[in-house]
Amino acid sequence: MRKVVSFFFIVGILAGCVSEGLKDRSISFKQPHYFPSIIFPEGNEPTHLRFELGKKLFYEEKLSKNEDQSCASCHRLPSAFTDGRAVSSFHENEFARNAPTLANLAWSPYFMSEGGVPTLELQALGPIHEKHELGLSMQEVIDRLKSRENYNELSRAAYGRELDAFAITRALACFERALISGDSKFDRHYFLKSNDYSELEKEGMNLFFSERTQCSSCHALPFFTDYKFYSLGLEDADIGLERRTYLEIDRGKFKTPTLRNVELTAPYMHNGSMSSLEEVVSFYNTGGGTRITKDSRVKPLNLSKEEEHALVAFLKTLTDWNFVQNEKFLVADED
Amino acid sequence: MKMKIVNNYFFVLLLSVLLYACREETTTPAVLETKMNLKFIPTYNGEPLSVDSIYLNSFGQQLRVENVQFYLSNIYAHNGSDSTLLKQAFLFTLLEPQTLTLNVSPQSFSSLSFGVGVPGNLNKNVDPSQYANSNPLSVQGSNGMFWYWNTGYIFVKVEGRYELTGLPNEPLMDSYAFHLGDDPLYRVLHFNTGSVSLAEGDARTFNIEVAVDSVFNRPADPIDLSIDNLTHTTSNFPLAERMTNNFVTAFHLQ
Repeated sequence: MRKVVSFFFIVGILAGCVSEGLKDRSISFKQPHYFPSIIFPEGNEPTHLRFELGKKLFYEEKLSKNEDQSCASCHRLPSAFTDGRAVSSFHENEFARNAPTLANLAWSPYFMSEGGVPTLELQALGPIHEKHELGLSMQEVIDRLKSRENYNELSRAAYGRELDAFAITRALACFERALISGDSKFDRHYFLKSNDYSELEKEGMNLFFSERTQCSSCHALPFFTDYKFYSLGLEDADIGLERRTYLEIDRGKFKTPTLRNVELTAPYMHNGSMSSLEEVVSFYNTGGGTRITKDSRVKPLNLSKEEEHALVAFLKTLTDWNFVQNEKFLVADED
Repeated sequence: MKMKIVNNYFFVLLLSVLLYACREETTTPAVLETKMNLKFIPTYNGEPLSVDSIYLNSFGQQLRVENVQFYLSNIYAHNGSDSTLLKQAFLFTLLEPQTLTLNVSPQSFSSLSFGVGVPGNLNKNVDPSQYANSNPLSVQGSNGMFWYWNTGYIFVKVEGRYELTGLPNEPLMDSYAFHLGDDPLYRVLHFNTGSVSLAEGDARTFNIEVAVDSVFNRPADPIDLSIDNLTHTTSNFPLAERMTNNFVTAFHLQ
């Protein structure tokens, strides 16, 4: 009798060990009260393991054809998830563009410069498949990762399924949704009334939100973008929004980029043709480019040199140093 | 007494076995599947298409066809005002004849129709990762026939190489690629089959020729490869529209 009891006791313990596995739990993303609430897509509410799986995939070089590039190659944390290069394609092509920051994607109504991708989950498919970027098929990605480390275990625990396109896209989106940036000097001054701006920064802010410059009519609060499409008149081969709409009036129009952390995201414009904030402000001050589709608000501003400096000083207050130094967005070096 | 009880048990057991056997026989009728085979046969100038062959187009330019892929969707059988959906979507890679076998219910019909491409409700703003891998609209199943920068399926791909002089032995160095898609390019084709009645257990094959030469040589709009050799639809929509109109004339029910 004693032996029978011991047998069932041991079996019970072993069964307990087998069913233990990875345990997931819901998490919430810390966000400023002056940002609207995040609306998470059904089935991809944030959890600890979804975030961890997404982060692991974000830094995974096996996702690229030659196993030497990852999402983080073009979206590096110290540069507010940009890469400092003019354009980020690994090969020259007419649609190679400047890498956008990934800050505050949780609120973006659509993705890509033409706005043709409706969800962050779907966006994740683009760079993986694009031959000028990571350049793999999803089947190749899965074949590579399934045999590696604990991807399958993480996927089962996070999404209740083996690693597949569904789990990969959702996990990457979950990680990217966590990249929230709203703790800059501007936020403390404007929303939290810290009142620690210099006179130059105050002057720059006043100019930025003025009728005279109309900067904030497109770079609107709280994300410093209205997510709409405009042409600044820049002439190059990239037709911008026209690529999606086929309309000539959309030629050279691109989605308004956020200005949060703009100090760290040089070079600027869709083609990375401007290397400094001073150059960008000067470009606006002289009336922008010459393309016929240029937005009517882009016109000579007659700003003095001091006013240009003030605008640049203000733009530098949009840097969120806690965001770009947040180690939760990094993976531990596994080598 | 003991023997009588055993006999009673034996009788009940025997009865149970007999009843079970009877039930088996009467409740499992043989299921005879009714099949419709749609056999798509790629040709060029009436001959079977060959990836090794070099063809001449209307402008005397030499070309080789290296890839033909396309989606067919909403395959219907029509009988008067009644329509039966036979298949939602199927992706063809058509360098050799390919047969789509459909298990259908017994029915009568007089025409078939299908869309070339993917209809709007399945094309835009859909997430292909929601489909099982076996679905031709899934990430894996679409096999490169999806645009990820502006969600939507590539309806038709025709790719290959060409040479402009038309002289024999000239190498075909340049490549052409026609990637056609987007909602305005979805086309629905109808084919009269005559009166067809499929009874239980029937199998019927319909041969549909896909005359790839129509892509290049449709008399109303022949394609000059020296000018028109590349479109990803958005990069040259007018050409994509022309190529689509040419491609849909390639289908002939034999």
